[in-house]
Amino acid sequence: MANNTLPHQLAHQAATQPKRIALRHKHLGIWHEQRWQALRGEIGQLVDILDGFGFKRGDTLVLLTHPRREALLLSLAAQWLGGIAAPLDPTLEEDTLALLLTHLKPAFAFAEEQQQVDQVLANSRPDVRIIYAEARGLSAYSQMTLHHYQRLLQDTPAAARAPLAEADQSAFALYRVNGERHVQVEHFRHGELLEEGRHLVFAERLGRNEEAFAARVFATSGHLRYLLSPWLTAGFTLNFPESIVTRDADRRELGPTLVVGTRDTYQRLESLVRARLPVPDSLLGRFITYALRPDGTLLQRLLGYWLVKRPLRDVIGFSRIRVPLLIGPALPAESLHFFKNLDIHIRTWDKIANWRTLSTTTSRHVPSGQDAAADDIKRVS
Amino acid sequence: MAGAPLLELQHISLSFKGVKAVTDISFTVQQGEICALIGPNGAGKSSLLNVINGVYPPDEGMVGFNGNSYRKMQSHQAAVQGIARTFQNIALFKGMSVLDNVLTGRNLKVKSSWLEQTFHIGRAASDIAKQRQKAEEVIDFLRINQWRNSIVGTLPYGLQKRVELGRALASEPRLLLLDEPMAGMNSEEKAEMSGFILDTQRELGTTVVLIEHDIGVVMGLSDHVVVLDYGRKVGDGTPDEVRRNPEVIAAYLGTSH
Repeated sequence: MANNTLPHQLAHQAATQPKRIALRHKHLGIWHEQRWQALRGEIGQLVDILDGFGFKRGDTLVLLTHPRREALLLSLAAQWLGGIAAPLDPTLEEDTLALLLTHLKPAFAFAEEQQQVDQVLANSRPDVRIIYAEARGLSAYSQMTLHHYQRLLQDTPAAARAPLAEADQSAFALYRVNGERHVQVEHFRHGELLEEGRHLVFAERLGRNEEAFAARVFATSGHLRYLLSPWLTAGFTLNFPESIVTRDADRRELGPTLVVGTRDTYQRLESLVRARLPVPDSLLGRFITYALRPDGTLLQRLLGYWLVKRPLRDVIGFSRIRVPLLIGPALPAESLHFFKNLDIHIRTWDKIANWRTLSTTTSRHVPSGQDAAADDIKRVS
Repeated sequence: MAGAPLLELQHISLSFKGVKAVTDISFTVQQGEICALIGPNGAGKSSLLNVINGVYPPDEGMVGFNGNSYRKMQSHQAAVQGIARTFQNIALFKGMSVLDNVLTGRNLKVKSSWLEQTFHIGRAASDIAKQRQKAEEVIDFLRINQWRNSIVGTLPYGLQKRVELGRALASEPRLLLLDEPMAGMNSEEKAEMSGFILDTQRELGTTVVLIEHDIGVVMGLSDHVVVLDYGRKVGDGTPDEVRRNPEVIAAYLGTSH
């Protein structure tokens, strides 16, 4: 299918439901909404900006940022031009990031703020084009290749051109360093991602009214397959927290219906709930045990729902949760049981990774070269 | 840093019931610089800050600010002119949230009348939105977003100091007076606060006068250092000049106190 790509899917949503909310993000304490039509317009501007920088089919845009709407939009703009988005997790250790950047030698990058700009500058080509989101601390930087995201948008007129992406092209490339300090890559083609997304949408009956929460950067295969792709496929709303440190409060305010989390995510949420629970032997503790008995009477179940489950679900922002997904390593049975007691039925969706090793050097400084030139490609799971 | 100074103290003397707190102090602070006032306890540093922002009228001398000279400036007048300050001991509304504390710093910027605010008419709605936006910008600048709705009294000391800085910044000051902003902090908190003070100067263009006892912090942070001892000025220059000044070494740097 020629149009089976992420940008085509976005264009389809913008055409069929232009006024519905595509993205919501919190900035300066206030939630801001962006409709599909406006989202399409902003990506159109970004496409022109990247094109003006010389970004062309097959080029890679490296993204070094915490979860931000700008990164998502730039990824789609790069793919619009037939390029590849390569998100890197900014929480990786500094030498690991340096190794990955040295390997990638990006010509185009998006960096969240000064720290990430410095990391890209230190490990990239001298002529790397960097778009950054936060200008703080960067006013003294003299590089002509540094560009502020908002200022670029202000200077660029609206534009709309047809996507150049193709279904069998790579949309995303995820990079990692394995235990032997080898750089590895996993590519995700447009068609494959959309197929996975449609599978989830069908199996979980996801619709346009879902509210999904994106608290993690799109730097794992699970987030690409089970959050990004379903968003474009089903056309629901994707919500970004203000920052990684405010994500729990933001989730509480929002009450998402779809969450894609890792084991760490759910274990952290579990600890937040447990911190609110009274000592089991106390009067309140005994009441909670009574009210949560699965084989309880109707009265018990009602009391359990209104006085225990509902308030505790509110604590973690799961008051409206419908589809809590787990990706990556499994949760311990005890944790799964804990969430089940709160009527939160966590489902595991994941697929075996398909990492390719790109270099066999154990040195910090990997010789430059593109993935295609890698001479030692082997499959690992 | 050329051009007319933002702040100029001319022959300031101040005494309390005959006890001289400061004697014949003169120095200038250029627009956009960080100036540190250092000296042993009782040297007159806080008294001088109180003269600058109009809490104490000087016995003698003039305070020049932004091209105007004042024999005696009222505190309210200082705030209107764009002078904000923080205190040695935290002076926040402990029972209020971080956001509400920062919003109190916007009081002078409110344009709507009490009548409009009471009945939520006229300019009230847009005014409230604007003040909230500005307060949120400060909260974001100081990276205290996650404590936005926390009650200030429940926060650790270092964070309370940051909130106090936020309240001062909310008034969009031209001159920021900081009285021991790092007192009682550990080294990590000091480094963090130093970063915010530098950002205040570089990103917001605010001129800063601060009192600080940690000489390492002062020398790393300041463009200009004024040294006081027993109410008199014994040094005035760049950190390097002050470091080499024998009178300063004798009075302060070379001795413990």
